[in-house]
Amino acid sequence: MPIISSLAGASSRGFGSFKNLISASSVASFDSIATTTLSSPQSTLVVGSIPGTYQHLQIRGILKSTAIPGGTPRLYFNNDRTANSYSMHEIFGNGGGSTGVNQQFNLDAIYASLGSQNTTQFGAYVINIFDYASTSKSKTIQFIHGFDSNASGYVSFSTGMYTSTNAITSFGITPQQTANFDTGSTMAVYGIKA
Amino acid sequence: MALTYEPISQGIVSSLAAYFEFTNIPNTYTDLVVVADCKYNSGGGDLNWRINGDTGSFYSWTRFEQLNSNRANTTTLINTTDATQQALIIGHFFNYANTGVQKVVLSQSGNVQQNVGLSVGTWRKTDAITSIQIYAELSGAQWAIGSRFSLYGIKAA
Repeated sequence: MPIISSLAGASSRGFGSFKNLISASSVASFDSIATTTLSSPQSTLVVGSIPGTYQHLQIRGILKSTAIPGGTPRLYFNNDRTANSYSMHEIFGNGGGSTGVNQQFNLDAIYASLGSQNTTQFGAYVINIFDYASTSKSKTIQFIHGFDSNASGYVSFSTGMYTSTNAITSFGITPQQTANFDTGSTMAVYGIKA
Repeated sequence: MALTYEPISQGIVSSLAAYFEFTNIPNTYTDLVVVADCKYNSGGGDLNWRINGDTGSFYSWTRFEQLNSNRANTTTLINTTDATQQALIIGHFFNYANTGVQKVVLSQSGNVQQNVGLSVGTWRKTDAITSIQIYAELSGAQWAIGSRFSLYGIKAA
């Protein structure tokens, strides 16, 4: 069984043979902008002062609620909760044997569980926001999210739109109902260069 | 800004292989991303993730695939999609080095002929992830020559 050396001291192996293809070149096109990790339960996760110097944003993290039902969290930009500013579509699975679809529009935020609808295991999410700094078009986002807690689960591929043409400079998530996001929940914002 | 999306390791199958495994994964990143561009030599069923060589019943997963098909299971691995045909699977392993949380994995997947899907899996242990094994659901299947597996690290500020 060959051991393949690579960057960062990691190695790859298998029952068979492999060629190592890693190269030591890294391209600086994906930068960490800001990270929030909750040290105590909070009702919102917010990152502000996002610079307009990238082409796209990616937001990644894990979430858990302090209580169920917490409802479906609201995802919003620029602290804008104006009615009719958001819409969303999703396809989801919950282990129930059939795949579901959902569409909502004329919203005051994008409705997205982002894996938070659980009090035991963390769920996770990856959100891509395209052309977030544009001042000439509405913003589109695409995201995957879900949780699995051994006896139940929910996983979703979703899209959303923010109708404003303002550049996005902040991003927030808040629960629909009174539950908080639990300690250890995270939000990490990355900038992607074209 | 810190450079944060870095290649850690990559391998390409040069002779049939029963499994592929990234080992000695450093704990210096926040998330891991595994990209599997792969195919079985024959049969094989779904592609599975196994963490730290753990064969216990500490895993569960929920997924949907194609249309009108979604599944959930409690098992000894995290299941993704069928790789009998050429398949691409991107697995996101969150907070993999954090010893305070159980681990969650989101996997986007599809193959060229029959399905596309998304799965979420949990490994109900708080150990840091130091190895990820990638193997076939059905015994006897092997990774075909040319299958490529890449591991990236993402570091938050």
